[in-house]
Amino acid sequence: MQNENEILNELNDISPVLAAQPKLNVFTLPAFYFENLPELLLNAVREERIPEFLQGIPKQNTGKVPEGYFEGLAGQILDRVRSEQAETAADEIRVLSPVLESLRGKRVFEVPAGYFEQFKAAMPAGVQTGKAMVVVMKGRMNSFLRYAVAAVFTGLMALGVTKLTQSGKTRLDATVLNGLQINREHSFDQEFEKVADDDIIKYLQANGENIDAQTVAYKTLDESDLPSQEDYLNDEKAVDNYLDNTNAEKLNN
Amino acid sequence: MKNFILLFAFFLGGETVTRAQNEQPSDDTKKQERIEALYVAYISRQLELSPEEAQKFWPMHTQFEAEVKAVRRDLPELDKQQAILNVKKKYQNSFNSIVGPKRCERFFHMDGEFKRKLLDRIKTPKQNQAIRPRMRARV
Repeated sequence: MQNENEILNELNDISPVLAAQPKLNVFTLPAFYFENLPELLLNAVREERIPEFLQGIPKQNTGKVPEGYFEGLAGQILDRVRSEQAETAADEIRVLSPVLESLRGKRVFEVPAGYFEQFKAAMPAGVQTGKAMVVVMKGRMNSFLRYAVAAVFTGLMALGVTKLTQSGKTRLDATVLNGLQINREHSFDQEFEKVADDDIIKYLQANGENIDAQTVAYKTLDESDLPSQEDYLNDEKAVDNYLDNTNAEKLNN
Repeated sequence: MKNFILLFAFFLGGETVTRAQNEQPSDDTKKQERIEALYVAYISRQLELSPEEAQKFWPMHTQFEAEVKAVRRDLPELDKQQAILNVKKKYQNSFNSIVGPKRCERFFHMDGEFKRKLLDRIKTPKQNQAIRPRMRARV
């Protein structure tokens, strides 16, 4: 609403006459005008009714051309063009550059007679005139060499990628990773129980611990293997047999 | 040329397999590595190492351990202990920077504690050990 008032005020400033006009649609048509229009037109054509503004024009052909006009038209145009062509290309060059015009038809790149025959004699004394060395270029690189070069490049690329992916992160060895996994799984006690005494002794000895001989002897001796009292009574060689068996077992291990 | 490349590839493959077989650790080595892994687990638990700390700590420890092992075993006992102590002092600052002074001190303590644990284990008689039937069969 406010926009409408603003527009009206502006129009009033520009043209008070237009602003005073009532808001009416002046472009009105009779009812059903377009519905009946085709029929009206057809009826007008059938009855040869001529509109009033056309009735005043006499029925004469006003667009007449002289007889034989189009037959001679092309020739007339060409004659006109030729007659109006003031100067040729030669005339134009003559006007623009008399020097160029004077050179027309003359060969300017000429050498004196016998020039090339005498050319060798005119060469400086230091220049060798013998046969030049011909260097033959190899067509293609050896296939094996190409494969080798490709392999080297592939290797270098792989090495580069490996270095790139590992940069900034130290690689832990497998033993450390196993240990960290045992810690994560909280399975230290179970794993510790599984370790054999002999392996512990070897480990401690390898790490500089003094395992006294008595401990080693004690741990390597299995009390259950010792002969019982009955064994001594039944077999006087019970101790010998035990020692033989123990030695055999150790050899097997 | 193709035959040559094929032959070269076979040679390379065979060499790789042989090398891989040679690098297979022995049974004894595996057992020792298992105890080493237990040591890593024990120390990691005692020091409560985070994954980031472990990433820095264990490579440093590998160097430290190599230097400790490099101390001659045939030295007189006090000299040997002094040499090991020197290595520990040398690495003290490095471990400090990774885990802090408290845990660094704890590490040097726990390092010996693990060995004592192993000694205790082998000195403790096995309980309920099964009686082998071999000798009893003679009765």
